[in-house]
Amino acid sequence: MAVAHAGDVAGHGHSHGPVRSEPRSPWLHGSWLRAIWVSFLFAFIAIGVSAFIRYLLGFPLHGAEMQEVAATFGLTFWAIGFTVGIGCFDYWWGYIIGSPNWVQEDHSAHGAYSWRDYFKVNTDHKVIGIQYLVLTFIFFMIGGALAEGVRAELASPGTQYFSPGTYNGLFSAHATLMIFLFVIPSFAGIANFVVPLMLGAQDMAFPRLNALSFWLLLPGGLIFLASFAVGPFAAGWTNYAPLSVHAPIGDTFFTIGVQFAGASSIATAVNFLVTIVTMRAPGMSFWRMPLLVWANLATSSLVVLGTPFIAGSQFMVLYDRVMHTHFFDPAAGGNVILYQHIFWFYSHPAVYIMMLPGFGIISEIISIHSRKPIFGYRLIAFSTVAIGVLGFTVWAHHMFVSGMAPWLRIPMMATTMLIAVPTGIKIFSWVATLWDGVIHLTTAMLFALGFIFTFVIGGLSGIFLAVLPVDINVSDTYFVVAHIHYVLFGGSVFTIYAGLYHWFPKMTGRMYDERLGRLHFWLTFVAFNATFMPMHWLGLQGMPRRVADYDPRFGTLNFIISIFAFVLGASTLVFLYNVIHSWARGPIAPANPWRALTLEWQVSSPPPIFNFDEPPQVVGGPYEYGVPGARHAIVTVHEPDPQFTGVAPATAVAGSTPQREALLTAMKHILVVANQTVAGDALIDALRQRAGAEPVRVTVICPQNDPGGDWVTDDRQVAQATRERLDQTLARLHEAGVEATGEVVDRDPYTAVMDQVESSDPPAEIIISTLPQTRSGWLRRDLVERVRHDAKIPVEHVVVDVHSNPAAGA
Amino acid sequence: MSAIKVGIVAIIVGAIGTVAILVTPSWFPVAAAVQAHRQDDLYLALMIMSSFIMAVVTVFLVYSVWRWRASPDDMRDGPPIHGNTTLEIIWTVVPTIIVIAFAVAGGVVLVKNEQTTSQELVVKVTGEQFEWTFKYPNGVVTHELVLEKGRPTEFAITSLLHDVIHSFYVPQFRVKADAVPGIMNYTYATPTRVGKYVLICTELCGAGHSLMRAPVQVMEPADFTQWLATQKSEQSKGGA
Repeated sequence: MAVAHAGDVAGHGHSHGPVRSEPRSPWLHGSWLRAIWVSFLFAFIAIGVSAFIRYLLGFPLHGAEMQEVAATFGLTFWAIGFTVGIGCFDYWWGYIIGSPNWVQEDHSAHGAYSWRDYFKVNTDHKVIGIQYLVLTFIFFMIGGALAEGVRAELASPGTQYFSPGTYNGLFSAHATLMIFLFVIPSFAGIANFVVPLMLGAQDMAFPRLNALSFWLLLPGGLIFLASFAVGPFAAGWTNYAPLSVHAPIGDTFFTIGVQFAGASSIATAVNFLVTIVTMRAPGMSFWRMPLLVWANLATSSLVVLGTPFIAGSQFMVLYDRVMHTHFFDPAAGGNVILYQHIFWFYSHPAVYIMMLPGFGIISEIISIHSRKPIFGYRLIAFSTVAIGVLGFTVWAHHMFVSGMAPWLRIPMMATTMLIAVPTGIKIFSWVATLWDGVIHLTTAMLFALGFIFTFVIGGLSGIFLAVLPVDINVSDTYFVVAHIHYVLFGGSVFTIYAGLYHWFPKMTGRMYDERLGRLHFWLTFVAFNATFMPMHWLGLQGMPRRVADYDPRFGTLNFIISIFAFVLGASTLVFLYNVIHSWARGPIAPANPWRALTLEWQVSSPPPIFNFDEPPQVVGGPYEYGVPGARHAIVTVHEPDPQFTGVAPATAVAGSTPQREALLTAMKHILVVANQTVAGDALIDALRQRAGAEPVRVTVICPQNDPGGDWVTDDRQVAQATRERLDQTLARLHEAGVEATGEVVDRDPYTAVMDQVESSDPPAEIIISTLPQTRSGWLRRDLVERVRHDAKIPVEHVVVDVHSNPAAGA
Repeated sequence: MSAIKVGIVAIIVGAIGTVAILVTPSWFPVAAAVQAHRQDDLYLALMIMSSFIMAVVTVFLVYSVWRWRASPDDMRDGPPIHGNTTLEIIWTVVPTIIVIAFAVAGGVVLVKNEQTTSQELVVKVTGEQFEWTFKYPNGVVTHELVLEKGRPTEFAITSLLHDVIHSFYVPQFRVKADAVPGIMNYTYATPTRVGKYVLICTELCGAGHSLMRAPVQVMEPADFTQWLATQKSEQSKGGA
């Protein structure tokens, strides 16, 4: 959660206009409720219009073709409607139509002040990063469950549990979710959180586009899952024509889901490219960027250049299915292999999209946790770019047996072989970084080491696959399944885990449990190798992939593999428990638990809402460990207002008791009701004004509980924070000569006010201080109006726009 | 230990791995074609190379972690080593040479594997959901692939025009080629061993993909000639 920063109010360097007012009803302002009805409304209208056009053209309104048309338009507009309803376009729309309520950015949708903000459109890159990570982890679990279904079926020869169509759907959806809804967006999530901080920026270049990128992902994933209701897409995540063109309706769901996942990815990549190129802190040349930034620069380039090709390939399949074009129909002059060329032109760079950010993460972790500069920084940076560029020259190694032009196979073998070289350079550099270091075996480091081990195996099996005669032999067998899981699980997933552990303190402000982390690592490492290593042998022996039934002599080995696959699945529960428990109750993390030099560690854990009070000055490289006095950057933190330092107790008026009481009765008694805003300038100014006009005494109450009375706060830390704010306020009032007392009350605000009003010492006036309209739960519950109506004394409403430690309710 | 000594340990471990690889009896199914023998040799060479690379990386990694592991309260930094140009050149150039060598070897094997001769037997292979059909030069059509030992064979593979992609794979021959509607695709094998093998479809082709197989049999030349003649006469009479 955010940290109180007195300078924050004006800390982001510009002033705001009036606060934009939003409709009160959640059905009408950007929210889940609105997303639900707008998405279905868009879908119904789209289906209706397309049905009407079919009717006018004399086409049947029932049957397979109508289903395809309905699915195509319905799903597409459903997903678009979802992003509209949740609020991604409100700001732009208000501008376009010239809405009188439109306000140039007031940051009302920026930053997490309560857990609820994570479920809304939010423009803070840190919030979006966490949204990505939580959503993608959910899809990781779902994709993993699908894999467990596959392994259950494969545990014995013959078919046991699933019809062939469903089984084919299981592995198709498994791969699709893992690639598009887990690995790729997970890296986007980590980078979203970390990269702007590493660059010394206050946010990404396009925060609203960033939010849209996230909200495009969820409907894409839901479309994939929804296909199970109509018969899942079952042509593999590769969706080859002609099988995909002939497949039932579920395949259309795949082709459309890919568009949204792809759009999400492309928008994020554009954002990263602009941010990295234009928003680096002063002094941060390219050669002083951390390697995670290099990795994201290369990855984002790949995404932008490559993803349109998979979108195109799926559009062509969709058109062949719905509009009866013949792109891939040989009987009508189409070209079957064309699909594979277009598809793999993206999907090979896609594997580098899924690896390069992981490499960046590993570079950070190995350097920091062995307290040494990364070995061969420039060569690693060059290798990253080289892999990105070369990655576009190797796609046809997925097509060696496809029947494509035979001459193409040899050059593709050559380029595929050459890509091993920059990858090898990185591996050797990481090991050399460890050499003679001061190695701390934190969980992040364990996963980094495990990654090196498994990724070398995956990389070596890749060299095997590059050699044409070997590839011809093992293509489409379990050898390939082994290879891809070694590089994607042992590669990408291990690096994701490593990154999550490494940046967990920064993201959540808490430390995770190291013992559980170690347990998680070893369970994962052992179960992973036991599951996938034997698959190399199975493939060599001739077990094909994407089958439910196989030669019975492979039965025992498949059974053992399945057992370990379930252990691997269970290992994720250890991680889940550690994350949830630590996030809620883990020890508070310091700003820099790893004593690292990069910029994200130079701000609090979690960082302030706008990251830096002013742009840091970068003066050296990011990995200068062991160099005495070396600094990467100088970060300036604005000192909090001296008036706020120290806690002053509530004041009392000097003098004897009867004198005091007489004095108190003569003063105007003002009741101030404030919670999060209790230290706000606007409120204190209002009170000073009153005190300037006549003698006043102020009772300040800070109601802790939710204004709707829905839930009770019993959080001592929150109450303590509120007490501190209150004491600061009372101290300031005392210095301004205002007599004030106050207490934190464990009640909802309406009850707390009415208690005071009906007490033996009622106030003459009430001042209710709240957050702005868009953020105030009190205003959403009409607190001010109700008190005005019921208390029958003057009630003033003060709005305070303050960034402060959120408490319950207000 | 100095890096050189660790390196020597790594090489020894790699050598041990090599021995283990070479004595392991059953990496592959039986090799029943000339192409299979070539692939197996290439594969073994790759495994030996991998054993050394894996050994080098793992031994240096494990040694480093063991030797320089620090307790959590150790607040030192390591020495500020940024790189070593000689080392970086070596580990760029040597892998490049290795991969180029394997690429060349692979290319040579590929060309040899696909050489055609004039005595070739050409078998037309057609895949469809979910069955294989084989057509011999004399017009014989079967669902079982029967071949002649020692005879170079070309497989002319396709799929029915309105069907999907399948893939023709005989593990014992180590050859594979996709069956694609609308085009002809070719692969080659010279069987070297009499016996019964299996043809497996290795491209996802729908609900029956798991079960799309065909028996393969290699016969002595005399037996094969007889089989072909028998099939021909049976099919001419209207049986099959």
